Amino acid sequence: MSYLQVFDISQSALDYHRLRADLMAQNLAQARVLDASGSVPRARDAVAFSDTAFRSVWNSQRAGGIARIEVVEREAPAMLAHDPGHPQAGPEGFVASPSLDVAWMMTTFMDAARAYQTNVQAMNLSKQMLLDSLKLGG
Amino acid sequence: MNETTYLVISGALDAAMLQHRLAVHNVSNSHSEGFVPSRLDWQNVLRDLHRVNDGTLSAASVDLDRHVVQSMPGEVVAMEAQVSELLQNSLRYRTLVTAFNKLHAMTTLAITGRTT
Repeated sequence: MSYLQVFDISQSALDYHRLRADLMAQNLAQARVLDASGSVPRARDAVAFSDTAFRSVWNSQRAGGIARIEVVEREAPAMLAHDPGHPQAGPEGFVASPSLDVAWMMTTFMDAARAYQTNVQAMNLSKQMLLDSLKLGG
Repeated sequence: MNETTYLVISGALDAAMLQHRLAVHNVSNSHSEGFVPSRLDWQNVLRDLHRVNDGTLSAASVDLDRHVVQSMPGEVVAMEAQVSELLQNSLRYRTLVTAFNKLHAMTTLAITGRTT
């Protein structure tokens, strides 16, 4: 195993948290938007999976960070507003818009930002240790 | 002072690097579904290194992976504890590098009669 692999472990987490922040920014931007067909866009989030499930014998070669990231759509009922004059109003005069869960989006955003910072801190400590190892012997 | 001391310090440096990698792995997977954090059992590593020092265990047969302990399934990553472990471990590593260098300086003095 390369001694530089420890950076890849942190890098996988940085990618994941940046993706989450990007998705939350998109969710916020689309919060009031209908697409051309009149359907309501759904809020998206990313879920991470590690390949190190619980096992009786540990193998340190498997400590490789996040193994897989999946983008999932968040199930939420659309909000209906009565607006018969709206070009995309249904037969009964209701317009569907994405349900605004701004609190969820902002807390997820903050969570992603904090986790990003923590992983940068871990990466800096990795760098420090590798620099220390270069001082071995003198 | 003999070669054994070098082997013990090298073993401890390897263990500190493994512990660092485990903590980085735990931090990076703090949001992963179903992730189980793991750590290195230092007491057992030190016990092995003592045996290397006594000569009852060869340095080559120290298996660090055997001393990795996984938490029970369902336990979440305690972020503060992991970051604190990372900081402590980097100091531990630096201390070991300093110890190695002091040992190296003594060996150099013994061989050449000079400190530089």
